[in-house]
Amino acid sequence: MRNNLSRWIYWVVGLVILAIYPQVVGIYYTNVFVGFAIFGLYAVTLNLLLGYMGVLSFGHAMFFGAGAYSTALALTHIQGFPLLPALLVGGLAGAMLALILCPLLVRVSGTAFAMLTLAFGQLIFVIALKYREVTGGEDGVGGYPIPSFNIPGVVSIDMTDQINFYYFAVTVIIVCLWLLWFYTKTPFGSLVVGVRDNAMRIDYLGFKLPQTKAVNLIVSGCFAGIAGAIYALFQNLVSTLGVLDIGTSFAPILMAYIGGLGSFFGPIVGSAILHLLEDVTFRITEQIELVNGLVFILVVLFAPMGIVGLLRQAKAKWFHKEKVS
Amino acid sequence: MSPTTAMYVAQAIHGLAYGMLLFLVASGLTMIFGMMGILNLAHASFFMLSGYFCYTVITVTGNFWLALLIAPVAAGICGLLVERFLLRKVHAQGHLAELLLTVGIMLVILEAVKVGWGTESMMIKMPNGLDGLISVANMTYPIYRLFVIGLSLVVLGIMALILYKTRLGMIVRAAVSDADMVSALGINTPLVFMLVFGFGTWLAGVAGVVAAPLLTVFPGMADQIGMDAFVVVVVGGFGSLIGAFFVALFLGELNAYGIQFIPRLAPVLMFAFMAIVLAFKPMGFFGERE
Amino acid sequence: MKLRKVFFSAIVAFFCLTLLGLPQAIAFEPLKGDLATFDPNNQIFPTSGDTIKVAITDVFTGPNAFVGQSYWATLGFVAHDINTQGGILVDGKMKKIQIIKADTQGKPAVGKRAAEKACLQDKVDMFEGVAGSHVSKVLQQVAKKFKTIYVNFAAFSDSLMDVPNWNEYTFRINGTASTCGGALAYFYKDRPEKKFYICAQDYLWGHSFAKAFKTALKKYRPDAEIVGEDYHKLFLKDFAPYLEKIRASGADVIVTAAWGADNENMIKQSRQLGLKSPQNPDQYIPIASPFLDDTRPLEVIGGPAGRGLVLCSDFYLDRRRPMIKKLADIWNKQWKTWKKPYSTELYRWPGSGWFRNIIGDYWYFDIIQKAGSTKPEKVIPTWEGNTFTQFDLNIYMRPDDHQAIMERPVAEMVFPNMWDQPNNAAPGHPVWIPAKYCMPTFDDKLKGRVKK
Repeated sequence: MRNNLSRWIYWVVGLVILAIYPQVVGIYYTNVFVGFAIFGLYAVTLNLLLGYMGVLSFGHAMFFGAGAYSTALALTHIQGFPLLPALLVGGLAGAMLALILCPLLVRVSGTAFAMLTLAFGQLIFVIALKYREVTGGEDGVGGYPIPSFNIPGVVSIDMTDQINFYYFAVTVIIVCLWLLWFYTKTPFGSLVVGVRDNAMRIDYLGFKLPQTKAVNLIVSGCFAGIAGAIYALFQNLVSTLGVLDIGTSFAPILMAYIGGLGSFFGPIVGSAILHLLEDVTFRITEQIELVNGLVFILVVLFAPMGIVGLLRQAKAKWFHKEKVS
Repeated sequence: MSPTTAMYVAQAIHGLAYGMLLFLVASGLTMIFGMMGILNLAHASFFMLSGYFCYTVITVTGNFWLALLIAPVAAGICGLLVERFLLRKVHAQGHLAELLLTVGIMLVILEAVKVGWGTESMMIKMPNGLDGLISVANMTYPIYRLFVIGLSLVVLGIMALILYKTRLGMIVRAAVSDADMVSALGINTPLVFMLVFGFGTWLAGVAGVVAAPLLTVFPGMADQIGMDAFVVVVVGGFGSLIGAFFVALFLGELNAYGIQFIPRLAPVLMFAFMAIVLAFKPMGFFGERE
Repeated sequence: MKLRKVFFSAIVAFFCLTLLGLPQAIAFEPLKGDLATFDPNNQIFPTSGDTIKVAITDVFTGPNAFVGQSYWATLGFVAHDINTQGGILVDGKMKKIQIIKADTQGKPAVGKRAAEKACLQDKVDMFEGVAGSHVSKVLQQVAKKFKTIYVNFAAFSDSLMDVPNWNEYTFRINGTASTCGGALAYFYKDRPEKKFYICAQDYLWGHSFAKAFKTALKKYRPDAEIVGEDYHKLFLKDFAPYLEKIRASGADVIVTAAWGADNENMIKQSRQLGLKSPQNPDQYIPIASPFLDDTRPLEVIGGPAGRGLVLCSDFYLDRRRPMIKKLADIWNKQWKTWKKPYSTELYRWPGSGWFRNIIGDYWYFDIIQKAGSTKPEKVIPTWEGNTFTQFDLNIYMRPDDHQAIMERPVAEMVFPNMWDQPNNAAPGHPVWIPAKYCMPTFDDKLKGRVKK
């Protein structure tokens, strides 16, 4: 009971902090937060494959990019395209791409899965680069109108205002995270973990292995697409370098690893750490790569379970002591 | 020969030269993966590092041949140290940890290069005697590119001799197919791993020096060749030298003739090829194990 | 009574004149400051109190960090010159200049954040950059959103100053695809070369340069022929397959707009492959590009092999003009005393875009001096329609769309050269193409926006 109450208190405090955050820190850090939150969601979708299903997606940017591009293109070419459908288009594009690729992807695991996703990720990247007429190539699609949040007759909120957009983006991301959290707790979520731990046994138990993998893949692609859609609305510019390149595929892997693969919230922590690191390092030194590189090396050497793992260890130790005393 | 025929023939040799360069880089990568299961994303960084070493040796001594001798060895030693003091420590944690570690190493090398040599591109002159052109049947071709092909063949030959004719080569081949078994036989596998890693980086180093006068030595030098070599290894099959050899040559030609006939799609061809091959053979052409 | 009125008016008028004259009396003049103490590695800015804050929004990390470094040196040079003269009188106070770095990493998303930080946290009066039209697009949005002056020095795509990208806070100093392409085409008006092969980078800049060149060539040289057209990916390593096609096409000139390593590799490899000029068989094939004035590739290919390359830069040093010569001489004298990374050939005159940066910075500071304020609402009307006449130049800021209009130089490489560089070819005296033949494009939607 007490535990339940404290959980409620945590939630309320967290939401209050999120609500007053932009008023306290100003526009700049509000935008930093939105960037972090988008990548947090994106990294969680990657972890759905990496942490939960045990396969490494080396080309996850294709889902993110598909979402970002379809939202951007929809807003560019369809006049008066509303806000929520713009998000849904992104999610749909990510899911569609996953659906198209899943017949190939569900057959493999391990290195082959990583390489196949890499191949398709790169293929889509170079096609987007070359197909300038639609994607704008290196320069990307930008300057499209950002629709307002509109409930006819009730309210119309201007989304070009950064603070308004913050509330919108954070709400959407929290809802998405809650849905994903819920998804991992369903029996189906456990099944996915089972695939990771012992695919053979799941097969023998009579569950349909390829279908299970495919559904998880589509869910992951869909939410990565939504993250991409929010990114497109946030940046008002989508270009291949930034949503489809290998760096964008790599970022969530690093975030998930640094945060901790074993936990649902690990990747979000990882995203926070990397964004903070980037913001802080440049104020001190121009050697951003050096700092990043050293952080990766140190995390691998000394915190193999990621930061969340490290915290859990510390917590376990602490509680252990408490019991003893 | 008519100019058009000369062009087609020259394209074939260009493709061969790039393919051989690619093979030098990819062979180290595929050996390291085959044996240790490490996807070494820092591999191309050693290629670049060697280019910088080459620049320094040439500025100090003025001799390209000395650079060809020293720079790859220096890169190889860096590789040995990285394996011994970093990768070995995380080997037990699995491939993802190693992967992330190599990303870290890649970033550190990139930054070290910028601190040591600056961010500008360094131009390296071709060695005397190799900088001319050779004329055969109405077609002119630069000697240096032929030298690149020749040298790569020599390295390939030496590698084949070591792998197939020596005891060390036998152990390496055995370790590629089953490292645990080799270890159980009482062979010091960590030492073999270290040596192979060092040898792999040496190969990348040789490629770096050879490429330096053709390309420009700058911090982005490794971008393209790193990705291309990766594709070669993946398509050829992890751990397969023969696969890497054929695929490297094929991609070299695909690139040259792609630019010749369908320039707009040339960069797409390589990845399309990779995606198609992997869709049908998930482990690549010659790959067997996971 | 009447006499008294006249007398009073005279006194008032006198005071007004003194007030007006006062700022001019203590105005800065280019190259009058203590430049012998300038060292880009060791720049000290007043950080407290009232300063004129300028941010450099460009790449400071990664392989292209030299781009940011070059601004650091050139803007630093100008700031040092002005600061050692006492600063600029703006908003009723003598203020010194402070420079702030904002790293874009060459990525739009990072650039947006960096520029927002500069505007919101550092509260800069102006920010300048940027390599890459895609990044510039984002920075222009930031300028508009936070009402801060943004001066584009290095993004060359025509469409950046068209509606809807255009906004009144953005100014463009540098040339564009149309100015460089137009000047180059006009240069070939009466020359023997008439077969051109376009081999440009495959992104907006390369395509728009090629388009501008083709359009202008049709106008100025109708009998010329484009014998081939290729767009290679950025940072390509091996140009041999492209060069082989060029050889077979029998082109007289390779027209490219590549910069950085692409440019260097293309020149170098074309010489290695022995591509000769069909017009002049004892010379290598001419390559025409806006970005050739970098000594390093030229040194490697050697002096004679660099002969005949054509530079169609948007700004170029003409040693025949005394003020420009003085600037170059001061810079090169200082350059010898600098340490890494500024000690390399890259930072020696005539360096790539350095001159443009310096002119652009002087112009901006001149404008805020004239406006007497750094506030955009004062700066914008002062700059619109202003003509910069220092350094023997004549640059007009087109009021409707904020683009600089000037005559553009095209220079052929000569060897031996007049820049004390014994190992390479360098641009000779440029041909100045009149401004009307190399105008930046103009979006008609902006016509009559300003009534002047």
